[in-house]
Amino acid sequence: MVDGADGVNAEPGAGDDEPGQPGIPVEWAVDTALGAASAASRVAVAFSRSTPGRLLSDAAKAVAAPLTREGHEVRDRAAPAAQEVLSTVTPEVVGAIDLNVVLSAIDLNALLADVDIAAILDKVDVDEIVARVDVEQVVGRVDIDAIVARVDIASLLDRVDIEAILDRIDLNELVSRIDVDRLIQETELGAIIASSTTGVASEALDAVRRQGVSLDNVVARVAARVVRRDPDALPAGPPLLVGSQATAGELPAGEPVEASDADSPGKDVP
Amino acid sequence: MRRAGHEQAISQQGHYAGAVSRLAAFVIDQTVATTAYSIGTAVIAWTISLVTSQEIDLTLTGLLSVLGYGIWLFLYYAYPWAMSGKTLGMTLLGIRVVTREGARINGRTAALRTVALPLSFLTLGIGFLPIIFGRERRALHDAIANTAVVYAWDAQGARWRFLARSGDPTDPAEGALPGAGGAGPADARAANS
Repeated sequence: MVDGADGVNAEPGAGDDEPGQPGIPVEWAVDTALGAASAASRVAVAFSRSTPGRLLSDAAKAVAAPLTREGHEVRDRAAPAAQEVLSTVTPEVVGAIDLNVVLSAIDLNALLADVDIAAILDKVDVDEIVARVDVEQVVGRVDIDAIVARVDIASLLDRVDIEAILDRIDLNELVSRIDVDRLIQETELGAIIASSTTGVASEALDAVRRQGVSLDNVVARVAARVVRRDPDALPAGPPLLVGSQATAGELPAGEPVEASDADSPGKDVP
Repeated sequence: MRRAGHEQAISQQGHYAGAVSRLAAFVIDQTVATTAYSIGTAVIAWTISLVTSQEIDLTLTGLLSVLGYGIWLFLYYAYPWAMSGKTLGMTLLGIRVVTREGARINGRTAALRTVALPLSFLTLGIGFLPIIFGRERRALHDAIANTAVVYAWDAQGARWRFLARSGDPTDPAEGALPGAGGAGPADARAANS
């Protein structure tokens, strides 16, 4: 790095006025040499394109051929030595470079604008990368409670269209999945039902009706055996209640009558 | 065992009712109707005797009494059938009268069925045999009135009440107290499975 403090002026022609710096100013010398070289180069190029120039060039090549061969041999011998010198000098040079200054001079945005990110990503095997990731470990590090604590649940729910969700749900199908038997037996619902019924009277009535159905079935099966008829092949009930083609054997879980019409202990029984 | 009975009862709702249930309902109805008629006539006779100081005989020995009894029975059966499709006995047994197709019956059908009911007796009971041997369990008076009798009670509700009672640890009938050796809810569930 050169600057004015080292006695070398940045402005052309200013070096000769610097006090305390005797001798030829370096920048003046360099500029003059470069100007002379440029002029010489133009002359050389113009001369080399002329016929005398080409003749002179061929003559010079013929005369300098031995020198060229010797120079080539010297270059071959010098290459390893040069490599060694470079490997020794390069770290020192790199160490001497202030990378911050270099990086500050680089326009990273412009550089990145020229980069084809899509092409780079196409070359990346994301699946392979993900396969190497221990997701369990990653998740284990995540504080879910902290994340949830930062979530505004109320705001989130305000965004949810409950009606639209309900429209997409088949509630009948949902309800049919409920195990009502377990619900009654294992929740307070059973106690509520038990306490809301009339107890012994309703239980007795249920039992009488149940026994009546059982005895009816026994009689029906005996009668079917007497007349040698398959009881399951008989119509189960009126078509409006069990279906037009239904038979007793086809309806293990027959259609119940309308709930509003069904008798219920405590409702119809005085 | 009781659970199986519940399942059977639930599955047969809307099916043709059998002979036992119908006979039991009829016996109850006849008992109630006759008892009510006897009490009613006795009260009427006693009231008349108080008012007129005359003793009248309204027992079932006189023609007038038989006629009155017949009218009473007609009203006793026809009116409930027209209103709800079931008499008191049928309500207790959980059965009801519907049309052959399964719809509610109207007043005319109820009246026709009531009038036709004695015909099943007048045929020496042969009119009742189709209840046992018929494909649709319809008696003679059912055929005349184009009706049928079906199970129609809240069997599902009865099952739930049974489950609720069996799940009640204080229910002595189920002996569900822990350590009492009875059939508690867990045993009931096991039996169900």
